[in-house]
Amino acid sequence: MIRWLRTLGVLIQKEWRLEWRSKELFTLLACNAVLFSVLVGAGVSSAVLDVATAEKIYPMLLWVVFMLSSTTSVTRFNEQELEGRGFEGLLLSGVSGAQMYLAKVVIMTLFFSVSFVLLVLLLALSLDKDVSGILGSLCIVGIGASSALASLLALLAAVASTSKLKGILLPIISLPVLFPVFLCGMEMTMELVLNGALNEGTPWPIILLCAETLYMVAGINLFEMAIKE
Amino acid sequence: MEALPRVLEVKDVTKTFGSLSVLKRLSLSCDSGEVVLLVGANGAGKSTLLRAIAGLARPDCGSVTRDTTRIGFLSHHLFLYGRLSVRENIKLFASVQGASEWSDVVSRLELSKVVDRPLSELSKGMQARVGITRAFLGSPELILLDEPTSNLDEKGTSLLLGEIERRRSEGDARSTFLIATHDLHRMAPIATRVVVLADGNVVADSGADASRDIISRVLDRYREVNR
Repeated sequence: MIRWLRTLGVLIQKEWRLEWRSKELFTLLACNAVLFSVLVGAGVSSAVLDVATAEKIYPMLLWVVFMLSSTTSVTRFNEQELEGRGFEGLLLSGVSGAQMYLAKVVIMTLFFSVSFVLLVLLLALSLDKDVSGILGSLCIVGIGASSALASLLALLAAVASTSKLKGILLPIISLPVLFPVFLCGMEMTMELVLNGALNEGTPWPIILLCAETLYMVAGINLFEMAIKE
Repeated sequence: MEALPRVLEVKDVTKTFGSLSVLKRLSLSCDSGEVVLLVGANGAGKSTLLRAIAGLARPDCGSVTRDTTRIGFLSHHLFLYGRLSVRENIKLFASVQGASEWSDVVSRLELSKVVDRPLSELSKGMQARVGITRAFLGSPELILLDEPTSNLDEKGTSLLLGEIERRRSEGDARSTFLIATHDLHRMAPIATRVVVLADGNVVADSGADASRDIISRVLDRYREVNR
């Protein structure tokens, strides 16, 4: 078990180094976050919505933008594995698909979480909304959703990586399956915006956890099959 | 004479890609310590056979039985990460294999000067040497080399041949080599057996521990057929 975890640690380090050298995922996430926030802000402003309406649609806009920016940013996440087929070297070295998958999930979760926080702030700025009171709770919701999102996208990015259509295939196949994450994130954000805290007995965190568990079980079991010839 | 332990048994393996049958009920077995040259024209099935033996390609039917999990594989793809440095690549693969000794191989293959440079910035020949280092990490018992000399210059080839010889003479820890190659001039002298593939099957086999004479005759026959 210790050896297994040590290998996982080595793989996480590798994913971090690869991302740090290319900065592809983070650049795409950050650019998408800025671009979508400005577009949404401009759209809402030209629609001359009052403050109360803008506040109500803030959760929905936040999660639509987050989902779109995340799914469109990960299309190149597996490119570096495919360039030299490093993953085959790892499989030959006794690394399991589950370890490779979990390492990717950890790094994706980290970058998605940072991008979520950035998006919360940018969107609040462009809609002129004060989120300072709920920022901490929003971040926790964002990290939970990011982890669920990463669990699914790490698997689907591997499935789509061998297709010539991966640029459009990934958002198309992932967005419908990610609907539970979108719904949970939006509902929890709505509660935070309206009440300043999550209601007791709210089902959304449990639903999010169930969705994440489902995605993760699928990823752990299917990732190796998805990347192997 | 005591029989050497069998390390590999390929039985009736078939592999197709779409409508193209690359391997057709191919069977082959190898004993410990053999250096088997796989020769055959382009498309004969050499690379696919090595990938199936490595476990990277699933045969459609038939079986591949390996008596070891320690497999080194040098393919057309290097199985490395271009954005990582040579050191980071080698350390990564050494760590996941639990192999502590990697600096010796690096210095024997004369990579010490480029060890901190990103792999993608090296010449094809130097990249191939890094690929060889990775394939030889952790003292694998079965080493599969697919066209190992295709990107190597004279120096690189002699370093590779030296590394193969060194591993063959390492007492009990003798490695078994399966080498797919067109470079018969440089690889034939180290072979203990030659297997000729054509159209997805074995068409000639010199047998284990074949004499130089038999190996030469099999290779001459192969050259005649491919002339």
